[in-house]
Amino acid sequence: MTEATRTILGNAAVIPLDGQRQILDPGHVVVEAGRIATVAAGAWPEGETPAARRIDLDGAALIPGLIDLHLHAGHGLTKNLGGDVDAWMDTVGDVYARHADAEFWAADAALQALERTLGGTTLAVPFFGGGDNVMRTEDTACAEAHLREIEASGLREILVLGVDRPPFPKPRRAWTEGRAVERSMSLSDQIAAIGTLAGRWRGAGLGLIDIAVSAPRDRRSRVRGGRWPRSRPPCARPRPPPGPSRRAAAAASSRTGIATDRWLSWPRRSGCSTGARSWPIAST
Amino acid sequence: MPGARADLIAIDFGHDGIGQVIDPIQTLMQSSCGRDVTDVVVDGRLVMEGRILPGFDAAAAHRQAQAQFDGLIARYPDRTFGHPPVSEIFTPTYPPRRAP
Repeated sequence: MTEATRTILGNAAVIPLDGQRQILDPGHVVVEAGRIATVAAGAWPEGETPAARRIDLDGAALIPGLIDLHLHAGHGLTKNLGGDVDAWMDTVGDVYARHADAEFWAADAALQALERTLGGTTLAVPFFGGGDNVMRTEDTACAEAHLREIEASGLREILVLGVDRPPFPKPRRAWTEGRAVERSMSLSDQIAAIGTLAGRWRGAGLGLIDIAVSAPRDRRSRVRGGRWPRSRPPCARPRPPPGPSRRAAAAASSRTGIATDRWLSWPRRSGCSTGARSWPIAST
Repeated sequence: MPGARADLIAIDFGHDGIGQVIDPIQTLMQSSCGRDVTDVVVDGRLVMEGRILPGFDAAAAHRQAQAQFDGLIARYPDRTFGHPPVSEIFTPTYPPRRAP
């Protein structure tokens, strides 16, 4: 890290992503006291400039830092575990709730910060654990370990803390000096820990860290009686509806004046559709 | 935009893997990936410059990770029922050739 107050990133293809959709090639950006002071055309500022650090980007694209809005603390270390998606979900849920100690969360945060930096992600908004049902917020130790590593990295982060889905209490396993201690976690344990962490970490350090609070999605517990189905909807390519042949459809089309392709085409989706889907209706 | 918090990244267009630069945005979309990010600025501070992270030796970390992984693999026979050799737990991509 450099403490120079004024830095010029010059000789770059600057893509400011502003309202004018301009590309400044060559262009330069002057950074002063943590903020963007100038975005302008030309490899370097013209005329005399106050003492500044000059970084020659040699034609590189200069764009705003990338923002990752959907990720999970913990997945940095577990993403490459084998198995299908459901088995993986069950495994990491168990790892996060019962086997991960503060050292795990610190190592995961350090690795994720490294990968974010190398890939140009300057702000990330991770859930602290497995989505809205395995949050390691029974106390503050695990999140503290995570946040200390992120703070040291110099990156921006909004850590999303939350409470688990009911019912409570939930089993958690704490680790002290290599020994496991089984304990139960109540809703008020989680709320208290989140409050403590938010008070301690919002705007902490360099002012790059913030805390957000999530609530579990209640439609799962209401609609499914407390359980979300483990198996996903079938991922088959949609079959064409039974209907007239192409020639019959063309004849029908000439009678009804409805375009043929509305009869014969069906969604050309390669992916999996999980939502309700309606076939084309001829009465439009 | 002037006045915004200075979070910026530079993506290298100067290496031979990038192909021809047609238009910076098209080149970003078609040819660039995370490994091309060379410089990262967060809140005006350079957290990575020229692909170098201050205080982090990537080559040493890579060697250490490989050594730890090799050690993990070597312990698998102790943990596996019947204690088969590593070559039976992690079968090779190609079967070993046997002499005729």
